[in-house]
Formats: sequence, C-alpha cells, structure tokens
Amino acid sequence: MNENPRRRLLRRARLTTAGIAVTAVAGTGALTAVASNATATGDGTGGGSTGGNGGQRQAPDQQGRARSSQGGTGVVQAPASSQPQAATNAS
Amino acid sequence: MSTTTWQDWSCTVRVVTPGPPLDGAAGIVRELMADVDRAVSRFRSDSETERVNELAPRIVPVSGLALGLVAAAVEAARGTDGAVDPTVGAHVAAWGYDADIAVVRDRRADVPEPGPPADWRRVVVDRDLGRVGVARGLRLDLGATAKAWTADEAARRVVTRYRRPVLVEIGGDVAVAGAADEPWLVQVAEVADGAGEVVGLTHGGLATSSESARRWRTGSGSAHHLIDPRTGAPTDGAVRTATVWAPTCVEANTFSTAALVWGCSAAARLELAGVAARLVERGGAVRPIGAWPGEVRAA
Repeated sequence: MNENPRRRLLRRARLTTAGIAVTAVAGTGALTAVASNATATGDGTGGGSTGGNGGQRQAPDQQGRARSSQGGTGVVQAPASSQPQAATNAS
Repeated sequence: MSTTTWQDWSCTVRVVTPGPPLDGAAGIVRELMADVDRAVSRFRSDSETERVNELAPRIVPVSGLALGLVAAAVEAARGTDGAVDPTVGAHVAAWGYDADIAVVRDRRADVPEPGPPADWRRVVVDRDLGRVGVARGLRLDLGATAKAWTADEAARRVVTRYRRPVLVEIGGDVAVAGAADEPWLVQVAEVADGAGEVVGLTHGGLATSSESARRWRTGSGSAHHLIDPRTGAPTDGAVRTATVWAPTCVEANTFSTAALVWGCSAAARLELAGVAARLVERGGAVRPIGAWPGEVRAA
C-alpha cells in the first residue's frame, strides 16, 4: 500500500518522538548510576568532596550539606596515652 | 607530622600535616582568615557586616564571601530552631563584649536594659542582588559559625592545593580534610590546657562551646559570650560545655553552641541530629552523646 507524504511525515515524527523518549530514559538511568557510584566510592575521610571541584570555593552555606552526604561518625576512641596533635576547647 | 602554630583572632591557629611541612599551607589559612575578618568581623568598623548593622534596615551590597557567611549563619539558625541566632550582636555587645576579649576582661560592664529580641527571621539575604540586611535594632554576629566555617574552608583549600591530608584548628574549632592513614588525635577539654580526654578524628569537624571561657565582670557578677536568643542574656542552663563532632566544623560549632542554649533538652536534640557529642553538665558530670567514645564520668 502506498503511503501518502503526509502520513509518512507523521509516522517519522512519531518514531523520532519515541526515540527521544527512550534516549531520555536511558540517559537518566545512566546519570543515576553514575551518581550512585560516586556516592558509594567516597572514602569517607573528608577529602571525598574536595577533589572534584577543581579548587573552586564552595558557597559557605552549601559546604555543610555537601560534606554531610558522607555519613558515619568521625570521632573514635584514641589509643591510650596518645599525644594530641590539636585541641578543641573553648577559647 | 608537621605543625605550624600562630596567634590570630585572639586564639591559637594550628595547621597540621603528615610528613614534612607544606610551604604555603599556613599562608592559605592566613589569607582566608584575613578575608573573613574583612567580611564579617564584629570588631572592625569597616567590615561588611558592621556596615550592614550600621545601615539597618537598609539592604546593603556585600561580597560573595560575606553574603555566603551570613546565609550559613541563617541556615544554622534554621537548623537549630533559632537556638543559634546571628542577630544577637546587639545583645552580646550590650553585655560588654564589644571589643577584643583582652580589653573586655580588663573592665567591668554594666548589666544592660532589655532590647529588641533576637530574631534570625529578620535577616534578609538576597542572592540575586548580592545584598544583606537586618532589621533595625538588631545586629549581626556570626561568632557561632564564621570561625568554624573558616576552619572547614581552610582545610578544604589546603588539601585541594597540596593533595595531602590536613588538620586546621582555629581557636578550638577543628576541621580535617583528606585521607589520613590514622585518625587525628585531638585533645578535648573545656578550656585550653584543662583536664579532658584525647579522641581520634577521622573526618569532619570538632568544636567546643563553653561558658568557661571568654568571661568578664559585670555589675551583677560575671558574664560570658554565649547569648540565649530567647532571653538576650548569657546562657545559664544545664550544660556548661559542649563538644560536638559533625560532618563539618561549622555544623559542629552550630550544635555545640545550641547545646548550651537547649540545656536540659540538648542530649535528646543532639541525638536526633545524629551528631556525636560530649556534654559537661552544670555540676561537672561528663555525658557522651551518640557515638561519642567513652563512658559517663566526671569532668
């Protein structure tokens, strides 16, 4: 059966739209996977968020939230008779 | 291990790195501290926040650094239901802390008349226009957040520049960055050289707030610099000193300050916030909170 030019144009438009949708879904999935991987591979040492921004300064009020994503407490028992390297106290 | 120490902002500043000294690391910290000082110092009439205070209630153009620091202080207020309020500047000054602490300690302050209550919701931060404003009668004081933010940012800059782990301590606010082989060893105490304990710090920040330091005489006894926004007076609750670990030093100092304001409810609130803490109660008992290592003991 011959397809008139108008029908052919509509069919191609539908195929193109479907292609865009499939690409968008696949792209979102890939980005999610990359983001998950980036979170999972953080070393949890406080340096994980520092290397990727090329030394740009973080906005002061965004700094905390960026690092909070590392999770896990960072204070542990020190070995007996340890010599401190720094101090936290009221000054 | 290399340590560089100096005095600034009326406190000890320390930069610690494994291995040989990092030429320039201390310079990075000094430069940042100078920038922050120019932006938000309460003791410089030419600082940007002092200009905002003087021109209140006008909304004043400020640098990106000052705007961000004010925004961080407002965020701290929001995250603590107003227990850490950046608009207590007029109150702390009225109680006598209006100059370097060494000057304040040498005189006797009058007990102030009650002024307008602090209210962090009356701070305007306009990111689009790069402007900050505060309501008339209130004054910005970023003392609970700016120093700790500086420690965080300094550590981040050093590790970004040198790719080596670093610890930055500014007046007891401790921030670490980079992957150190061993936990950093940090002395925790109420005041410098006081009794305490040593803990390991793997990441994030530690900060201590206490009524035991930065005290001065007034007509009705002594006062200190930690203002309860609800009363406009120095805190006098169930907790006299709080040390907090959090993912950043600015969060740690936010919660350590809030703990003194929260008093009896501090332990429950800190547990809910998911931070680790060491509280020294009014009578001297030490209480670990969350994942803080150790048992209940005397200070």
